[in-house]
Amino acid sequence: MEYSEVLNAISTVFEMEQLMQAIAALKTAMYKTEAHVYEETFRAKVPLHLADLMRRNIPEDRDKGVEYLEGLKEAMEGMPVVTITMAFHPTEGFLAELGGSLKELMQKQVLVDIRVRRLLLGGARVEYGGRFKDYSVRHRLTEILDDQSGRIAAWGSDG
Amino acid sequence: MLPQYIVFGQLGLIVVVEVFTLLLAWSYFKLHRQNLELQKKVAELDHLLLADEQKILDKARDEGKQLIVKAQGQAEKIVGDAQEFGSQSNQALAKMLDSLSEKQVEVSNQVIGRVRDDTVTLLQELIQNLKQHAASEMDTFGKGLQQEFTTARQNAQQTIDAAYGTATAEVEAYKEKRLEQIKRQMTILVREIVEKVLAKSVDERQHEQLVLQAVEEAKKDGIL
Repeated sequence: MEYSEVLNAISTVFEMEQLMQAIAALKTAMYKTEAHVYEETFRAKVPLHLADLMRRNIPEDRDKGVEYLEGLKEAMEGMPVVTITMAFHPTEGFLAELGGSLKELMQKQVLVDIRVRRLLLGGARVEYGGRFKDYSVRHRLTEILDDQSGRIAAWGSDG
Repeated sequence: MLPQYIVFGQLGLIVVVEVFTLLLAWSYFKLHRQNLELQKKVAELDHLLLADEQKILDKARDEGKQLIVKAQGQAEKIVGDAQEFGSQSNQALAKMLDSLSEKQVEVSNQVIGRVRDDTVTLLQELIQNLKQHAASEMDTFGKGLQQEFTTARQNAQQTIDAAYGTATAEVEAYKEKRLEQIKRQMTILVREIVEKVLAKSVDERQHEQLVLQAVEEAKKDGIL
């Protein structure tokens, strides 16, 4: 089955987790006899910006629909995750921009795990596949201060 | 009336008793007289004994006096003889001394001179030995003193080195601690300044640009 349309529409781990919860709820609702139960669950659980995509892609047949949801879930679980810690809460527009930038840089669809830590002051810490580097303003300031401390210590030794 | 024989019998009995009583009295007087005589004899004997003892004592005293007088006489005689002998001996000795020849005097002087020379030599050797012994003792003492001085100097140097090392370590630790404090304070200060500066001078878009820039650098660094 084709999942790329939905996968392209999500860029963050938060969105993925929302969609995972929606998939679990939809699978349960599909086995209910009352038709309105599924519809109510869909409206309540599926994120609004994904609703149309999901309606278009989920087959109407119950068994095929369940199969699609399980396949989508596995495809999301297999997506690479880039963890980015930043000093402010990003807007949805910036998240989309960041996702697009990452996809372009990495040449593949990735999920962004956003974490906010104001002490970073600016910039970001980037972690992927067990590798990590700090590009925050705080880290750069600390490097500068360490260098200055070294100079102060050198003065103390000279004096 | 009693029969006659009983009366005569009683009379006879009284007579017998009277006779017996008289005999008894006579015996008593006789014994008493003998006792008095014996007492008298005893007194006489005591008198005689006392007289004999006095005589013996007097005789012994007299004999003692005679012996003392005799001994004194003999002693005076012995002393007189001894004085006479001493006087004679002195005279004989004087004669002997007078009879010593000049040669004997010379020999005596030679002996005295030799003894004097030997004594001088002995004293010189003794002084020399004392000098050597003193020099040896001084040398040993000097070496010991030098050793003690060296050890004391080494100990002092070790103590100074240890104290200097401890002081240096303490200074270094204090310096490190103070630098760390300064660094912390500087970090806090700079962060506060940067926060205020960034809040005023850096807008949201510039923050976003910093994040995008970080991602691009991560790609260049091989993180992504």
